[in-house]
Amino acid sequence: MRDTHAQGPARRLWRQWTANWRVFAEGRIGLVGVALLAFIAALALAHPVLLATVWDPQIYHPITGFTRDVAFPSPPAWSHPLGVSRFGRDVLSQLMYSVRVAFGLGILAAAISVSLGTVVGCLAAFYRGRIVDTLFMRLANFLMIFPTFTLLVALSGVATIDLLRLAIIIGVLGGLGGITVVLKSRALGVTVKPFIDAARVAGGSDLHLILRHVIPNVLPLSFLYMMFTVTSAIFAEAALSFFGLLPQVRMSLGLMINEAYTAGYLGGPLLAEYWYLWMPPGLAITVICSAFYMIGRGLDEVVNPRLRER
Amino acid sequence: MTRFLVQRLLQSLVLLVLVIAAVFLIFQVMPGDITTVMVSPETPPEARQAVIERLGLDRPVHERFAIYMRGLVQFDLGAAFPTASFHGGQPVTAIIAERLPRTVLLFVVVVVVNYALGFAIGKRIAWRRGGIAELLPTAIGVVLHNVFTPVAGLVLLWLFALRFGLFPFGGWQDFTRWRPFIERGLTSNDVFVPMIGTGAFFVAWTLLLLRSTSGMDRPSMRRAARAAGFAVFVVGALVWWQRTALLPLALDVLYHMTLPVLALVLIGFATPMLVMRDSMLETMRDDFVLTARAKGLPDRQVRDRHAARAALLPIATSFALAVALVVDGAVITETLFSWPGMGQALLRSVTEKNYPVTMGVVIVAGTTVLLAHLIVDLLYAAIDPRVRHA
Repeated sequence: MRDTHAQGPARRLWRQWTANWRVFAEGRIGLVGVALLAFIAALALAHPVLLATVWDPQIYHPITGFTRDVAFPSPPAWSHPLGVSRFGRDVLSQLMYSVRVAFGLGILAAAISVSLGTVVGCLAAFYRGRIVDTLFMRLANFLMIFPTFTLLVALSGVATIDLLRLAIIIGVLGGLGGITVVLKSRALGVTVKPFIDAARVAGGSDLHLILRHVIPNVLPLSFLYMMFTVTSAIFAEAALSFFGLLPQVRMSLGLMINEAYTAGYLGGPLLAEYWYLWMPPGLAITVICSAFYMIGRGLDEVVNPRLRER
Repeated sequence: MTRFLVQRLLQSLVLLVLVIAAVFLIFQVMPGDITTVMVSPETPPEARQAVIERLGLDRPVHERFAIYMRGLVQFDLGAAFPTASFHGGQPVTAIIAERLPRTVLLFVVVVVVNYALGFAIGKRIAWRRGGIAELLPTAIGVVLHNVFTPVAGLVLLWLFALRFGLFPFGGWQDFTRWRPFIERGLTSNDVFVPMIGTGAFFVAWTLLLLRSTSGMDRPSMRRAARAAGFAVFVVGALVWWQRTALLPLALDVLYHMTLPVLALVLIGFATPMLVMRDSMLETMRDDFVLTARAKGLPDRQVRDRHAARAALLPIATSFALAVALVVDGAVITETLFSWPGMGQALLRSVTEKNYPVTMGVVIVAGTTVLLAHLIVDLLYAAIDPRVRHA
């Protein structure tokens, strides 16, 4: 008895999932994103394994290791597939480590912003016209338009920002800003549906209604915005590190480019010769951001039926 | 409408004060006090104390905020500290007044080109939904959109400035060309402000030209009329600039602008393109598009005059907000291309801990955004009665 009862929703969820996947796959661009993401994730996950098995940490550690066998910097060779950096570190190892950093930062920032945005957006929609709504929407309209990168640059001058703080700042700014606005408008559409009234008549409390009926119905949209937040967080960190504004961050994609830039390998005729110092991290930023962005575009077609072909 | 206007203006004013207060407070929590940057370590303690009292640093926060606000309404943002990139004692407003037109010229040109390009490509790829003609521009746009700006800038500089020698390696002026003018007291704004004016006139002229010729049914005639209108503008602008004798300087600035504009267009055109595509896809399903088709109108007319026009609103909003965010986007590009504008001032003032300049730039950036948002809202209210009566 209990089994059949549990199977109903599970099977419905599965059917919904496969239907959504079909729409997602039809757009093709989302599939490209998933493939790119799988490749990058494999790269990030392989790093600790390689360090534990094949690579000697004394030589290959991305922050402290260095090699005595070759000059710094030196081009790709068998022992160092992407060359050696200006401080004698293996570029491939730095790259794989930095990709993991970027993933961690992006996903943390996105998780913060989306959970904040979803909860606040749904609360504002559910209690529309009341003080919660007015207060948070005023704040959201303000944060949504604020020039974020300018603020981050200015903040880096007065406070020390590490990766965790950066993720929290980006997450809060995005979550209480634009994402709240978008999710509130979607949640407004949900709160006027008859099933909300039905659940209320059946004796559901406000908390129950919001948690079990409003939030699940806006989750796909939240997920979509998560993808875009990941991209902007990774980009912000890379740009700040590129200018050396995050001294707390010891290794990241932006910092790799910063190292080569401040040494003068990039802003001049040496750029082509030292391609292995900037191209791997530069490409990695592009590929990671594109992957999340493409998945976001694919999800967009699932979430917005009006964008579909049929 | 009046009530809406007053309400909206008051709201913006309150927000503006909040922005300034937030910026002010952020700079209160910084470690150490300002005298450690301003005064040399050998200064005797009494002299340091005198500086602290003269600047009012011994007063409570709310009094200092009142002083700052009082200065602000008189367009006084304080004076810069003596650091590597700024003269000590130079008013922050003077620094901003010198640099803002440079940023505005460079980035408004970029935003206009991006949106013109994005609009044109976006409507076409939406029209050919599902084919390779849609997938390819979308994929290319998304990848270019995610190119790390510094990498794009450095590669373009290397390729076009060093390998091909086509454009200068950063900077904004050929000083030998400017020197005789500067000796006679010319400032960069004497060139940049008329250039911004010419650009604005060009946009207005183009829109007018496109609108007045769109009624012509024969493509060859339409093309000829547009080419003629464009030629009239170019000749008129050249004649006007020749009379001011500043033409060589304006051309010099344009020459220096080309590479940064190219970099930012490559990275930026995808955003408006995708906004336009999505907006088009929605209007294409509307009944009036079907009606236009059923009337037997040519495909192109249905696309340009019916679907694309109705799809304009989201991209217009996005355009206004993109213009507002020019300072935000300027930090990276201006530093790479040594373009002495607001973004470069922000980055240098942050690394040199020149707090008055940083505060001034952030406040100007925030004010610009608030202003643009206000304008967008008022335009919406003027277009759509549902907004002003809501």
